[in-house]
Amino acid sequence: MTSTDDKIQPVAGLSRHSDAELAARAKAMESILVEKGIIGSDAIDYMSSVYENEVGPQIGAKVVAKAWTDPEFKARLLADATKACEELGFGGMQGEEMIALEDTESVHHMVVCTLCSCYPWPVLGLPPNWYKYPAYRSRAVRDPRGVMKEFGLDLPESVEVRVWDSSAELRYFVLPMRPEGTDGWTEEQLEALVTRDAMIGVGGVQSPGA
Amino acid sequence: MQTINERPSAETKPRVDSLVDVLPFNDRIPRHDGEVAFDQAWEIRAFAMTVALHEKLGFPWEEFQSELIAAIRRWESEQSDLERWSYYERWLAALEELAHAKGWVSGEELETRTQEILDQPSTMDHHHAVRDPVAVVPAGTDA
Repeated sequence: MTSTDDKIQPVAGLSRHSDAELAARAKAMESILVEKGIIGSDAIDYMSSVYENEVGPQIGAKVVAKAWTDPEFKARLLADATKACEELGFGGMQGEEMIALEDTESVHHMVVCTLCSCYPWPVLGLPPNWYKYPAYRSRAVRDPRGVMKEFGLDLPESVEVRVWDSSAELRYFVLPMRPEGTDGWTEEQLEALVTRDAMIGVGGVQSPGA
Repeated sequence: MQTINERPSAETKPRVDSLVDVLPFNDRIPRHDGEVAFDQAWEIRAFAMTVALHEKLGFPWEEFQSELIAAIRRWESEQSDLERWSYYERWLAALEELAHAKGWVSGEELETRTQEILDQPSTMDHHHAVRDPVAVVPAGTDA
């Protein structure tokens, strides 16, 4: 090691911790504060929901819009979502294996993590607070149609609903159906229609005329 | 019961924005299209925790501001390598100081708990891939 390296060694307590360490510190702080009753985790959830959309699902929206306009890309996405996302430059952390689930006229997909909050980070950003609530995790499995209704999605009875459990090893996201009335639209225009809720499968994609 | 689809009320964001506006070294806050931006879940958590503490406990926001100034100054007095700079890392350091000064959380408590969390595999219970649907509601059988 050269003397230059020695010089830039940060002093104790000022080192740049890894994100894993910082995440653990933040989590430790939160758990102690909540345990002591100084603050409720619901109050923290509420505040974090104010900005959660800012880191949101724009990347997933790009992937979906591309699949809507480029049939060959769509085929690659459905065959291997991880690889297809990497092709667009999206991947990495917590997205080692991803599967895109294609909605059709007869089948609608919805994603949950039944045990914690496994989520396809690289394409959807941060999970919304409700994704980790016990209420969502259990009701998504027991009553997926009821949950969708709460999000404003009323599926026809002729549609089968499949619920998929994301885990650390394998994370799902939904490729929703391209809405009617978007013939000739550019990828950029289509992107703007795709919401995070639609890619989790709790919401639909609004037709522009609707 | 917890409402799944809860959205913050319309007046919350401007209120939080106004807290952000008066923070020290404001120009260094990561932004995306002018909006405060985060790269990591823990950054949002640290941010939201601080704002929630301020709103629930009613201590003056200036107290956090001055901790943040001190935390940033401390960093600057020791190094200048911007590769190592992170606004939210300093934010968390300021929050830790504040929690210590207020007597909410001691340094030792925090270190112990952090180590416990780090020692736990992050996805302890949920590591295997689940390749079949966990539920299927067939067409036409909606209750």
